[in-house]
Amino acid sequence: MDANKVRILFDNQTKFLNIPLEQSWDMYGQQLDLEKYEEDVLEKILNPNDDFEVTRFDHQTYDVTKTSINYDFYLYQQDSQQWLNSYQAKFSTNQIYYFEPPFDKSFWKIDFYDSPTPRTQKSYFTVILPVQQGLTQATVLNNTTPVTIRKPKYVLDYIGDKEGFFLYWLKGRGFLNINTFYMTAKFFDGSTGQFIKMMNTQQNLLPNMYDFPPESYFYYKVDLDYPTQTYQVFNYPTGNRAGTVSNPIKWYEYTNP
Amino acid sequence: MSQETDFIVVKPDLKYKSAPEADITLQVGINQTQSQVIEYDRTVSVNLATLFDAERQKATTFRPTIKISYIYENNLVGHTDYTIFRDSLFYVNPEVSIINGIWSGLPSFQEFEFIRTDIDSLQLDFVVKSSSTYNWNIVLSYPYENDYNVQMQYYYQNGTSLPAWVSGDGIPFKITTGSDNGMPIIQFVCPVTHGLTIGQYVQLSFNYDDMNLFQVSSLGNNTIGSDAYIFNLNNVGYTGSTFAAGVTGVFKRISDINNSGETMSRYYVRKHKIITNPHDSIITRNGFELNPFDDGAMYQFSSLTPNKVSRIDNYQSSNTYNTTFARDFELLTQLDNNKKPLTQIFATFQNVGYFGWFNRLRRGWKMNMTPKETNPWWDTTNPLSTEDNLTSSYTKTQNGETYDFTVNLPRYSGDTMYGDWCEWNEIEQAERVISEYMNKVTYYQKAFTIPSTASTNTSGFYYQVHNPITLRVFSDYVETAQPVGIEDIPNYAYFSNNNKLWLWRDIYTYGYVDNLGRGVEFPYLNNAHYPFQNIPFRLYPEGASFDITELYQVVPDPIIDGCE
Repeated sequence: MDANKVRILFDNQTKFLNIPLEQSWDMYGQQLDLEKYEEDVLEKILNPNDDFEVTRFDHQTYDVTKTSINYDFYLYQQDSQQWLNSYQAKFSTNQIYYFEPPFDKSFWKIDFYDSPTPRTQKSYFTVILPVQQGLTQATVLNNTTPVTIRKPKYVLDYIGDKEGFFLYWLKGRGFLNINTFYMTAKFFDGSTGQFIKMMNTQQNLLPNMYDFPPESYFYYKVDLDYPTQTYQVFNYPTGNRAGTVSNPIKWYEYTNP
Repeated sequence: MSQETDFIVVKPDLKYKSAPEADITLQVGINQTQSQVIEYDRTVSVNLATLFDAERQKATTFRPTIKISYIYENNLVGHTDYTIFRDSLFYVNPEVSIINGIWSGLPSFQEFEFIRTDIDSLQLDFVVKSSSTYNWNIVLSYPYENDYNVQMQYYYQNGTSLPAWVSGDGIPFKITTGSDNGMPIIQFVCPVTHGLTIGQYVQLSFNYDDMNLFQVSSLGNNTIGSDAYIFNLNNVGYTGSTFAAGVTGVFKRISDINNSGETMSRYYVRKHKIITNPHDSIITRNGFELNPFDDGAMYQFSSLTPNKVSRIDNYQSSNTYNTTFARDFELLTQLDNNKKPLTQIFATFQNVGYFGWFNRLRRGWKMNMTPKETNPWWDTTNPLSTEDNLTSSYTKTQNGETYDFTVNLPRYSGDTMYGDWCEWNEIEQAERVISEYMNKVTYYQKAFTIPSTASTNTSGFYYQVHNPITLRVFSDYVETAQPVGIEDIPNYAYFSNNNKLWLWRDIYTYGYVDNLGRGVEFPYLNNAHYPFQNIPFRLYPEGASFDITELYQVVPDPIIDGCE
């Protein structure tokens, strides 16, 4: 190369050296950037690809090996003015034993909210407990025949009665990150076609039967544990674990004044 | 430019004596102010199908669902004095038993089901959460490497065997002689399908006149199905005892004699890596689907039971099951056993036998199952057939007799185990399963005695351990490319030195199914693929009619089948 055969003299003056630089613009990569940008914009404009898949949450083990979730429902019998753990508070023995339509169409409705505050809460999912499930009680049919009929006491587990045992909630936490729910219960009375609201305390034990904060008496708290995909139920607001054999979830019919 | 003046530029060749001439580089800063002119607006047509497909092809999450069509026949009758087992039997001849005091029968269907429901069993404190893991475990696995040194052996029904070989040696054979249209031929009878076609070559494990490559002239011995197990060479006048009847050996397949190095198949046992834990599997019974076979049940009268308690007993069911997995499977950069992108995972089954009816698992391959007979391979004196899973045990004592019950502990994520015996050919870029990996469960004889079986090789049940779930599919053609000038050759391509070509099979995109029906078309939603696999899971009882694996013999019809 002979390009260096040049002499530059310095004379304490600013000098300018004109060096021609060949320049060719390389647009490589710019197109990819545009495509990426295009994808980002499209993703924002269109509905994002959310994950609505649900997975199964089991009742967390307690007492070393037990897993059953236990519900006791108490219905108010107008005649005796008592709360009974029996459908006989609302239905005749014949209706229950023969699963006549008024009884057969009845069910328990367990709703799960994100908050115990009625004005702001949202219902996210529901579990139905059919009256065809549950333990039984002995009674007499037509004053003559001893029979067993269903009672509103549920022992739900992996086998046996299991409808309502598993909670199905979002598998991923990207779309909704909720792992604490507040559970309420209602009974759909097939004979009247109306829902009966349930509360976590027997109403006549309250200082004032008709004046109490609803947040404290209509809910149980349910915590989902994502790593183990299990759930636990707690008395609300006391925080004691409920739903176990020794401390079942108790629901009492709420009566209007 | 700044006012830098106090420097001198010295030509390189003047720096010192004999300094070489060299180029000088002058760093010149250039001040530049410019902005890009927007020449046009960018317009994008959004097409729902295109967008859906683009998202689908990018998705790496898989949520497999398995339907287990469970087919078994509980047909091994035994007897026991262990009262917990005795009182749960399905009695086959109670009128005789009540006289001679030997209660013969079949174990309850509970011992075979994927979900047990005998919550009142006296054998152990039943934990309801474990109801779906007491008998079986299902985990996901994938083959990650090959083992060329797995000891194998094939036993005939008469107890003799082919010489032992290792998985990488090739396929064993035994020579017989015969003729084909009057031409003398040498017949090579294999215990497994040989994978050969006429015109291909075999490399034998022995030489004739310093030659061990021979061309296959024909297949089979003119009986139905024998083509897959028997290949023949023309006997052009070979002398001596090299090809005498009864000679045994192994061979490797060569698809192109002009490129024998690269077209010679490799033989190996796949090694699987477990990728889920047992409790990740969510097993549920299909409420409204039963298989077409009998779910044998009978009322046991109290007068015809040893404990005088009546009951309805099932000895087998026709249940089917569904399995999903609590954790998603992410298909990222995993490679299979041949270092290709993963296209299959496997549902790996294992019998646990927590209730103590069974011994430690035994392992082998489908070729080790022979019709009617208990093959010597499975004998407990054969260390090669002992499964390498962990076990635990518990003890119960009854009437002064101590019973040691074995539990085959499940496998966990990260564990490894053997898989199918396979063949791979680089030029064909294809893998073939030669013989499926099987487990055998045998009864714990002390607690449930099956008469007339050898004490160290008792009758039992076989099942296929690894069942494939297809995620993606390789093309049916082999793509080729010159070594230079071709872009987008996949990194898993094989370079043939002999042909100077890259070789590979394309991976079909999700949703594409070719005219041969190859491809996957399972649902895509929630940014995940939902592959579904129907697995007919068979529990083969000893003595059943298996696939023809014995040296090509006609398998007799079963004496009693499901219809009877």
